[in-house]
Amino acid sequence: MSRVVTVVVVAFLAVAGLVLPQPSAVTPGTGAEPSPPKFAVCLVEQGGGRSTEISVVSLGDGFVQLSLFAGGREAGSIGVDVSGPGSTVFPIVDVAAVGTIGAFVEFPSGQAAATSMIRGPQSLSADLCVSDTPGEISLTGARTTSPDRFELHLINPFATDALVRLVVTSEVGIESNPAFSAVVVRARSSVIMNMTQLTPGRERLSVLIEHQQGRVVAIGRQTAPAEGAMWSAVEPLTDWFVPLGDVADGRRIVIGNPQGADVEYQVDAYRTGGLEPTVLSGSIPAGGEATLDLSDLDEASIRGVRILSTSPVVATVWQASENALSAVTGTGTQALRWLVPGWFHPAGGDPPAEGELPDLGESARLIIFNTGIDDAEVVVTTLGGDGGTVTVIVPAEGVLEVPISSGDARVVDSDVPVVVAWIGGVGGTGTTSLGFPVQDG
Amino acid sequence: MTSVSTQSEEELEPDDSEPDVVVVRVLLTIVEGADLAAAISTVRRQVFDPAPDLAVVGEVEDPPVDLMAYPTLEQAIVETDETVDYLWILHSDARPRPDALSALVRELELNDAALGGSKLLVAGSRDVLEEVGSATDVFGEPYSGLEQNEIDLQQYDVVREVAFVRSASMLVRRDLAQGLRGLDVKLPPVAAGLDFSQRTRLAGGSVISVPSSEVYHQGRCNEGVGGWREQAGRLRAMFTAYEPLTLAWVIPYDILVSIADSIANLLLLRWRPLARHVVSWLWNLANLLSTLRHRRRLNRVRVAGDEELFRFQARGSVRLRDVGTELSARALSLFDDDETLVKRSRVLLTSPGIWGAMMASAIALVAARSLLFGAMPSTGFAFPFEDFGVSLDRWFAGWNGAGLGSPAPVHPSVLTTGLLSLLTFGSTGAARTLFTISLAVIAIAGMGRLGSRLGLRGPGRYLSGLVVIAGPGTSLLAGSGSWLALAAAAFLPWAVRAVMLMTQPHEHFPWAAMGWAVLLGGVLATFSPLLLLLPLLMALVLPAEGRRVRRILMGLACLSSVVVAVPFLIGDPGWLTDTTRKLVLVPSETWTILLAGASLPLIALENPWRRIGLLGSVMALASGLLVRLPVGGAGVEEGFLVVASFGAALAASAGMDRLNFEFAPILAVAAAAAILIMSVGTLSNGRYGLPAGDVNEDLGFASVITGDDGSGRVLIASTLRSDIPGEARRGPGFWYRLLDGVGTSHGEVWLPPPSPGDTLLLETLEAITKGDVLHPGVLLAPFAVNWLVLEGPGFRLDEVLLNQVDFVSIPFDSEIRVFQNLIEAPIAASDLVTWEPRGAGFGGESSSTPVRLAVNHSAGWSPDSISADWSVTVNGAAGEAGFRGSWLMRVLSIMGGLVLLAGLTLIVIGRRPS
Repeated sequence: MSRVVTVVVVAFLAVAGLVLPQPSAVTPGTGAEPSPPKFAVCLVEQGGGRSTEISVVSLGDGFVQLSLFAGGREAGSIGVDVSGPGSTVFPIVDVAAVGTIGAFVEFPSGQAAATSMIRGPQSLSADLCVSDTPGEISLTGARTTSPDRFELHLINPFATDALVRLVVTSEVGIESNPAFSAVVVRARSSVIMNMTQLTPGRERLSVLIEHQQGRVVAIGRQTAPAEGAMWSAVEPLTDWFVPLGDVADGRRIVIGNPQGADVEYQVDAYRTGGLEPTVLSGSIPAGGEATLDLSDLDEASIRGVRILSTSPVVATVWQASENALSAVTGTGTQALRWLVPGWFHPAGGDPPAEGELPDLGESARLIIFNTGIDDAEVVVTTLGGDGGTVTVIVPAEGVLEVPISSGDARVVDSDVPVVVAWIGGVGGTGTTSLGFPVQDG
Repeated sequence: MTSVSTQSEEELEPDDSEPDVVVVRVLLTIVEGADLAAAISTVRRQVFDPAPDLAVVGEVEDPPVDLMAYPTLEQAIVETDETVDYLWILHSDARPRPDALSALVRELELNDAALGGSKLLVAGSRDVLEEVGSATDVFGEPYSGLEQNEIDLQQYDVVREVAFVRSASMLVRRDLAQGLRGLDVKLPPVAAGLDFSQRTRLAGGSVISVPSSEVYHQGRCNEGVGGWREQAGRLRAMFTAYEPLTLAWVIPYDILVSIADSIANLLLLRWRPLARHVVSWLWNLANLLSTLRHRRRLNRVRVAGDEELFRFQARGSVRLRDVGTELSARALSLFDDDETLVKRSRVLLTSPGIWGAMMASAIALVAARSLLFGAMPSTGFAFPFEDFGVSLDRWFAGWNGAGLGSPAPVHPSVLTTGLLSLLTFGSTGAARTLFTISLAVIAIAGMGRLGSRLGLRGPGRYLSGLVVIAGPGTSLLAGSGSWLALAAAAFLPWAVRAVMLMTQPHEHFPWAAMGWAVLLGGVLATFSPLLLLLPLLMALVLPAEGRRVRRILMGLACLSSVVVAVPFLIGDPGWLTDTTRKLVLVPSETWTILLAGASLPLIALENPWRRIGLLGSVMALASGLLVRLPVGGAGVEEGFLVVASFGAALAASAGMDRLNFEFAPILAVAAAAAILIMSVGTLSNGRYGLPAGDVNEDLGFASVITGDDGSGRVLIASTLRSDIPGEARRGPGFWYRLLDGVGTSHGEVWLPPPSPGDTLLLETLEAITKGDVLHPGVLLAPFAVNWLVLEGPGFRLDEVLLNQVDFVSIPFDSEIRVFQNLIEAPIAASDLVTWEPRGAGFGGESSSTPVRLAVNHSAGWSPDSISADWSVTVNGAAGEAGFRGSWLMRVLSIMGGLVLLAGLTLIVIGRRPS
């Protein structure tokens, strides 16, 4: 090889080596789209005059299993095949008399939901069971002033022990109780934090739960002498939809700011006459909360609210009356399909015993909240019983209430994204609970 | 001296009296093939008065009519009458100078000696010394002290006592000869001389060498050739001469020396010494009675103890000294092909090759400090060795235990690692550490010897050995933990050297060299089969006058060794073709610039520096370019990267070879030094660039907690490819692989092609990562996944494991996330028993119910294997299960072994006598 040819070859190789792009690294396969979880975690109280029903609705066929757990062990379980779409109700009394513990419901698919309904002699509280476990969750609006009591239930249904840190804020600022800095919740166990003892006499209390390890579900239980409310800690969001419906007065919206900085917020009201934007606005200091009394806003005409904020917050609507106490946390999700679990034994179930609350159907109704600019054509399908469907039109930027005559579960389909909740009440007591937005998969 | 006169009579004799007449009889012993007439003629030309009587001893067809003839030497001695003073025992292949006899007689008389030997010169040479009397060691091994082909410059012309003289020309007192009954007829010539000399000394006579008696010796008597008979004869001479006390320690000592000698010679690929030792002992046992009789006869005339023999014996063992010298010479010649050290030349420190080798070795020693004083890394692609038996089983169409297992053959390096384990008597850790440390030495020596063969003489050829193992490509591979790449890089220069023959066509065909080409090619093929192409390419590219055909032949012979790797290449073609299995390692742009820059001064040099240097540069640059192309799999990538380093090493070797003060050579040296420095930099971690870590230590919790039989498998996953030990599979958003909980070994570095079980496992992982599986432990238990280990940044599996009820987080380590499956998941179990790994199979208590093996199904499992979905069940009654691959794979494995054996045979057969 002559010198010239050599120079040319070397030069070519060198230039090519410098010019050619580096090959891209081999990457692992693409992960599948996450599926909705196929479980729900519920709070159960059984005994002491209270009983719990777990009602389940599922679009898919398969086995639904409910297991109760405490102290790292399973305390009892029950299961039933559900042919979807279908529903079932598990009276906990049929499983075990277990006190206050957690229940773990396993669904055949992610298109299913469960609701826990705790009945007492004079109280009724219901809440959608929790099926997601984000890293930070928060609840707001609790109080520990006498005679109110507030308990925080930390439920860990999973295989791994959880370690959480609680950031508790009240009107005095961040509570510095060492009991909050590291709470260990053993696998398949629950821890009940008696906040009334730990932080007595607080008018407003918010709790931010930070997961250090593992995951827990946090559910608040606020009890008055004759009433009780139950609500779950949720992931803070910047956009909340809260269906309210036509219920008695005395409602207040509590917006908790778990962030370390001030948050600006705005409340839009959806009245019977349409949307009224920015009926309220303001700023919430870091770790603080804002309580908005709807009675100041021509409450009777308000059927739903939307809360927007500059940073994630938690919004809960409280309703307190002489005989009723309920708390419902809004949702950030609008969906085309919603599931509404039933609340008593479906066909073949035993009728309520004497002293227990009867069927809630007489006063129960669905609240369908359409925040869009188009009317929504909504089909409500009743599962079980005689079945049947009802089609209604929910006006744009409006709220429609649909009476439901029985405790059967229902599927709500809409042609535009909506928010669905249900209200039940009897004998002066009542409760509100969100439906479950169905995701694909 | 046969005079019977007394001292007083001698003293009374006047000075001018007639000297005593000395009568000598010559016993000319017949040597086959020797010219008897010529021998008689030379004897008759002796200047000695009176002329000696001449007799012929031995079988001769036409004995001269005027000479007495005796069938045996003993008879000739016995029948010699008493008038004879001396017997001159002379071989018929010896040609004494005319004054040889007179010199012998004169010196014996002067020194009052009983036995004297002539100085033997090689007949037909210009005074090349054959022997001037010999010392021996305690075992009778002769030690002349002469260099090979040493010329007689009269440097040994001193009459001195010696241990023995050769029977080719010895003068002995007649009375002593008759008392000792002559030479032992059972012994060959040298041993006979030794035996006779020793008996002479023990009988009170002295043995001297008479250099003034010069005899040209044709060597037809086979003297000097170390056959088993000579060895047996030496042993018999020892048994005859030594007293019991001496024998009590000499015999065990001799046995030990024989063993050591045999082993050392085996290392030099010589088997005959071992056979000689064995046969000589057998012969002596068979002739024990005869030896004892011989010994009794000696005892009758013995007047001296063994100390008299010891005076003339060399210390230690001549045999061991010789073989030790040869071994050390061979070892030193790795770095010293000029044999400067061996020859103890004064130019030792001025030899560039020597100090280049010393400097490279010193750097390599520092670069291996963590391996020497710390732990051998067991991470990346460097796993511990398995026992020889298991390795051989796997290599011989046995079960490939990587992942969920496969009938696909294991990587061929398993054979080499198994043999290394055998060499260290099963100490696999020592084998691995020592071999890894020696890789740098092998590379340094290999590049040095290759450079030398290519015509280089400077220090760069040795220093460039460091570039081979730490150059642009191998540093990347070593950084990713590829121990195999280091080994391949170290042996590549040797394989190339084996091909680059220096012989000319008219010379004998170098069969031994071909054997080396095959053997070294085989070793290289076990590490990186594709590199076998390079020696052939080098043979084609590098011009060699008159040698090219042979080099190409050698290259083809080297290439034929690929047979060793054929089962692996057939069983896992994706290793060559699947681009997703590449590690995507590309030499940096700095290397490109450096190599291109180093080429410029090389262009200005003359050949061979220019040719070798530029070939190296082009090779390195082209390999660095080709490795970027989206073709080929991990094996192709590995090959290109090692060739890139080899090319850089050639360039550095040529650049540093010419040390003078001209402009271009100075630039070439500077560029080569830059290449060297950049390479050495990657060795700074003390592990030849290999990453630190021990996967078996990291995952040791598995067997500690659940025991070997229940530890199952560990599924290790990460979004970073480098976090996974060995080869990894592409999972849904992460890399993963399975490892045995009891520990992983070298055969599991590469994962075999996916089988049905692997596909199902991937589908299971995809389902789990969707996040809607609450019981992942139940799904993974059939795969015997008892443990999940997540490494690197948090990813999807971390999230889904938060919301499930089977895997418990165990905080073993702050860096990795460990989860234990609550669902029991043994690899091999029935309803009744659990088996644990046994060799390449499984075993345990016998079971009346079938035992399920959580491995991919293959018909080769026994006994009575049945496919159970993707896995296997076997009959549990036997208490063990094993696997044997298809007949095709077995045949291919045998062929691979035969090729290596053929190479070894060619080396042994084709060796020229040393």
